[in-house]
Amino acid sequence: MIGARSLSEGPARSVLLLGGLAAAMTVRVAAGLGTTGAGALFAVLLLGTAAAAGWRPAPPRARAVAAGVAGAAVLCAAPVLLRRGGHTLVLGPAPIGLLPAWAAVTVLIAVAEEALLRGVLMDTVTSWAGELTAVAIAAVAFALLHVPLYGWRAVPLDLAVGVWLGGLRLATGGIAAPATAHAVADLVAWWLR
Amino acid sequence: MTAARRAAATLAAGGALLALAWSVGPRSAPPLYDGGPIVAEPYRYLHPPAGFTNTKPPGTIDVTLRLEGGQSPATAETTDEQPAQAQLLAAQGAFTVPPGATAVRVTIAPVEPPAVAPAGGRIAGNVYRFAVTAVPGATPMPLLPGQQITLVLRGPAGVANPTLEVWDGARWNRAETTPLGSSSPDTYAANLTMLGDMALVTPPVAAADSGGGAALIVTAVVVAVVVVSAAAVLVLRRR
Repeated sequence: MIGARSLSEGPARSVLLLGGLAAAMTVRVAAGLGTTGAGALFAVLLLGTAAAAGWRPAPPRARAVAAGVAGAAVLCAAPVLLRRGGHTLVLGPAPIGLLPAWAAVTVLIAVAEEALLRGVLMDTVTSWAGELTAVAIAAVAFALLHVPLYGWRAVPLDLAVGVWLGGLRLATGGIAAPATAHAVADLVAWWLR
Repeated sequence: MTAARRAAATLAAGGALLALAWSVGPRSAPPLYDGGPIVAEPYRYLHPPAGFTNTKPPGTIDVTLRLEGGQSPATAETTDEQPAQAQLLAAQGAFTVPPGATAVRVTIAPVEPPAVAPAGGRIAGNVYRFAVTAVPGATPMPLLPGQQITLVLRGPAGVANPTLEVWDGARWNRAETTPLGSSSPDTYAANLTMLGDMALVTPPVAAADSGGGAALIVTAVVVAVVVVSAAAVLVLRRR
């Protein structure tokens, strides 16, 4: 009986979490993708959804953070090499005064996305469909999440990034590694403009 | 399969997919870079609409670059707005160099729009003229066969679903357009095989700053609250 209940609740919880994710992204799009406030609101909604589903922040382990930094190095390797070869788009430097606020919102969004996707969503999907399915669903959600920002052409790359971050979650057992990798890769991108 | 093997297999798959995506996919954005956006200054119009914020005139580019090994040099020219409103990126050797040329002159400038409007849309922001000519003289330098340049245009705030279009002297032609994401809001890029006059063109009904935006935000917030509440109730019931 308990097993049957869990089996039915798992998919329902997963759908609710994905619904929360979609709703948060809708708010972000409606509030204006190009505003810092919209980004912060998006992150708060994701954290609220994750917290409502039972996620609680915990102090990260040093090894997980180190794994996350290594994971970020992999994510940044290709764009760094392509940039050095002059093969990527260069947006030009942004005023350094914008960096602190940008960095704060960027880290907030990265952690919020990981808390929901590689945190509660993967936990939930794992409970009824296994870890590999959880990685796949979280990666697909991650890729679709970025369509309003980068268009459909970025889906293959974001799928790959999602699988990589899911692998970090499986390897370390928590969200500290994928959250660190995600945040560091986003922050390094300031200098890849 | 053990947990450690699943993790290793997933990381291996992720690494392979990353390599594949970077080798065959678009390269116009860093891997993630989806954090907070850079704050954009107001759009600088060539002819500002009535009541629009007073701004400096739109930036222009006029630079002369020496040839490198007899080839046109790698070029990344950017107007001075934040973020830039117009950019031209070209690899070394992208342009045909005429005999006697010692340098290339790259110009980017906002110009008056042609009399012919784009079919099924309206121009958002300025029309920019991109030109690369030989020095000495002013012979236009077309792209070599197989070469592409990347052109980037930023539109006014909230420009909705635009395409970058090229004026060929008779009509506007759509280019495959890529948004650059929240890092550079309202900015779009396209890879092209020709230079000329370019503009962002939006569907006429897609005014992003219309009054419908507020209603959409309210609706989205309500949906978000309902979903989060439902998730919370489900969790509490389970306990």
